[in-house]
Amino acid sequence: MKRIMYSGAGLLVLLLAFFAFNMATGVMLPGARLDLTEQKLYTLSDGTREILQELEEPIDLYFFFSEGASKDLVVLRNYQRRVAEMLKEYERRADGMIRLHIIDPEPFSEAEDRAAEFGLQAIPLSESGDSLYFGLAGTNELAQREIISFFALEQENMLEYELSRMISTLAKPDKPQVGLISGLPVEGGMNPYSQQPQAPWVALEQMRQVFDVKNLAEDVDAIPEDIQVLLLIHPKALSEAALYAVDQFVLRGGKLLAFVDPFAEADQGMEAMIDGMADGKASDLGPLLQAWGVAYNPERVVVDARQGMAVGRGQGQRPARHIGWLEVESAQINGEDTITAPLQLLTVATGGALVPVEGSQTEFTPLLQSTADSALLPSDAFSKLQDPEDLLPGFAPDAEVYTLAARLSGPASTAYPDGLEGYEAGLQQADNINVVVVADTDMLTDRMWVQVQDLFGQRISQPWADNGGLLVNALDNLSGSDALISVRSRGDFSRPFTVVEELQRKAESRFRASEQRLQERLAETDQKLAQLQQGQDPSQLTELTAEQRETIQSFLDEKVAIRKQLRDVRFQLNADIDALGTQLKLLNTMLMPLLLTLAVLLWWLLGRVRRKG
Amino acid sequence: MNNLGVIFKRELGGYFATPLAYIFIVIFLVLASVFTFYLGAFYEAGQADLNAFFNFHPWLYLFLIPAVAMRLWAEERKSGTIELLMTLPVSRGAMVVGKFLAAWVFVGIALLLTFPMVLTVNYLGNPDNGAIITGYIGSWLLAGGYLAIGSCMSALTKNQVIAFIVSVVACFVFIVSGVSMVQNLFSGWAPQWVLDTIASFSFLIRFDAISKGVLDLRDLLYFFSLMAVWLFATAIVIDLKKAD
Repeated sequence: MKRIMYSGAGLLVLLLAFFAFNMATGVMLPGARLDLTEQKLYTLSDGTREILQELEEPIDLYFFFSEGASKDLVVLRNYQRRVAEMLKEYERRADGMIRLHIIDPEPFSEAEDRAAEFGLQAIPLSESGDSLYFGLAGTNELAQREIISFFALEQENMLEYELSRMISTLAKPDKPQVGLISGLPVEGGMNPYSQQPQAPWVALEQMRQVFDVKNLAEDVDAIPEDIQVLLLIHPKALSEAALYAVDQFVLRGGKLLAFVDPFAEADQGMEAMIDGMADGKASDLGPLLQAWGVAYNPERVVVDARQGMAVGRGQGQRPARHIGWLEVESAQINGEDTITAPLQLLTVATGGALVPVEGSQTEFTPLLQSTADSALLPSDAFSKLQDPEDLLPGFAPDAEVYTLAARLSGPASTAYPDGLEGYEAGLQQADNINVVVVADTDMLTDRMWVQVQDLFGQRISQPWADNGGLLVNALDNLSGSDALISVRSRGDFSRPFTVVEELQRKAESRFRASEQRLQERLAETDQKLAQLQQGQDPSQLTELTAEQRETIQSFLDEKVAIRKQLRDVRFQLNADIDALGTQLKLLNTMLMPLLLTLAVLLWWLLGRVRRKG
Repeated sequence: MNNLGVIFKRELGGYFATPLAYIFIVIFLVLASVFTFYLGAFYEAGQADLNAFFNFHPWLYLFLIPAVAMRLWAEERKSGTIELLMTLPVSRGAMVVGKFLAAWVFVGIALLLTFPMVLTVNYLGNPDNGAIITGYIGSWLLAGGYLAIGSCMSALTKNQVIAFIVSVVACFVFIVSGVSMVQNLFSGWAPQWVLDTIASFSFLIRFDAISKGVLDLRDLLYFFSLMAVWLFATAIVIDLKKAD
């Protein structure tokens, strides 16, 4: 035996054994893995396990992946493997309640027709002319279906949430009920100024496609039992009884999404019109927010020098910067929460600040934030504001980061410990509440996020910000079970260099001042030059006096000089960052080799000395 | 087992007795850093992870590891010390494993000396250090795979240069089996399971999976079985070539 092993034949046996062993482990050992990533990216979360264990009726999942068309796409095949393995893990954990079918929709096959019939999206591949299916369809016993039309690589961090949501939706087949109380004309109606009919807000229309929306009155004294999520938009006229009803609804496990605003620009109500005062446009939730551990001042608006939007002032005019209207970009959007993780850009118009109350038991998770270049201004600064740039002089950021929207979860107590007169005593406490508060209502108005065109009587909407997505995502997330809500988006795939960002911030604030000064000087010089030239007939330019020519020349020279300085300032902006980069490159490339060389030399010298000695 | 320890110590000490080892480490450190910062654009990408660093390891090792492995047996054979070794009361397995382990630990030390990269990325942002640790584990396993192949190739010949070249070629085959170019060669006629099997033997795909942050038992078994098989083959080759 030993002789055979130690021979050419032995080598061949060895090779075959190696292949056989690894092919066998590939088939027989799925899922035996140690997940060392910080956010346990490759492990099913408790929420998902709970959803799977609670399944009462079987669900069929049809996973379509075009094997042939994807032959050369190694990255995609790897991701496919991850999705397939996750689905198998779902199947394994669901104890027979999930039936997974893995299907290869070959071209012109029945399976391909099936994929198309489910509404899955085929991606055309330019090279081979084939199209690629990589999606999932799920059906329940009632033949209702849900699909993920294509697993996009960019959505990898949402994979588990998307799968769990699909299963959770199929497990509870009714459209979720949303109760709506709104203090703004979200349904359209008549414009009080122009007396023209107005269309409903696009955000609300989109919401109605996914949810069953029931309108509730502002003086409602009990939230109906069948409402899963209560949506409050600008609840400024809620009666005490209605507030108490909301309090009890939240404590008994109802989910709440509230949009409040210190200055709702869209508020055309009588109170707001007659008063013309800022607080006429403010809304609040009475004592409720405080009970949930949030301090909110309905008379203060967040302004942010860095996120300020450019707004048009009319034709032919330079757009103005409005530091009360914010463009909140991904760095200020919570990338780990399932509501906000898929969103890139949100706009907020004169929104308020939500501040967690110290010592509160309720967990406060910021969803949208301002930058450190922000401050709070009294809302009446906006009621008579003509030119948004009037806000700029004298603006001083207070280095605080303000939260514009937050998720509140965990234990909470009632805001009415003594109950409300005339109503029977209610719940005092809850172990877990689910509330999302957004301190702005204007973000839901069309003009803040979507362009609507009327095309042959059909309204076509083209969003330029994700505000509508925030509303639908939040309702979607809140209308799911507690278990689904706890499945967070994972994989904070963007881990920026915080040090570099800090450097950039510092450099920007340092140079913004000098840039502004130079810009002003440039504009001044341009103006003087224009004035000087205006009076001149171009044909008589040659007849300028020497003095005039000199003045014009000196202005032109100054213009060139200012432009150069501006370029320098812009160049300087990146100089510190580049310098840090160079230092790190040198340090990493040279330091260890140098130290090693020194150590070797020292060792060698010591050896020599010792030998001589 | 005691013999294995003796061989291991002797070999590992041997590395640090010559300046060649230091030169190897310095070249490795400089190249790893240059690849990361210049080819991988680590700083410009602005992301606090070490993907730009680990992505180049398979290619860096492709030339550096065969350079370490080429002298394992070829030198003994050329200088005739292999006969002396054979007369020692040490089993062939212990010799093969001892030499391999010494080389593997030596490469591990070189790898550990890249720790300033970890400090740098932690200074710049908040990386997922779990994924960085598995990246290092994966990289070391990868180096072990290359070394085991190199060890066998070194046993095949007296000429170190030939050992080096053959090792590079063999390792290259294991790298590219997952690359789409190679997959294309088979995709016309071979069934999908063959393609997937070929891809599953790729160093790149296995290493990539580990350096994402997950230690999958299958990936670990792949690397360990690979090392075991090539080391076993080394022992067979030494035996077959005993008479040469």
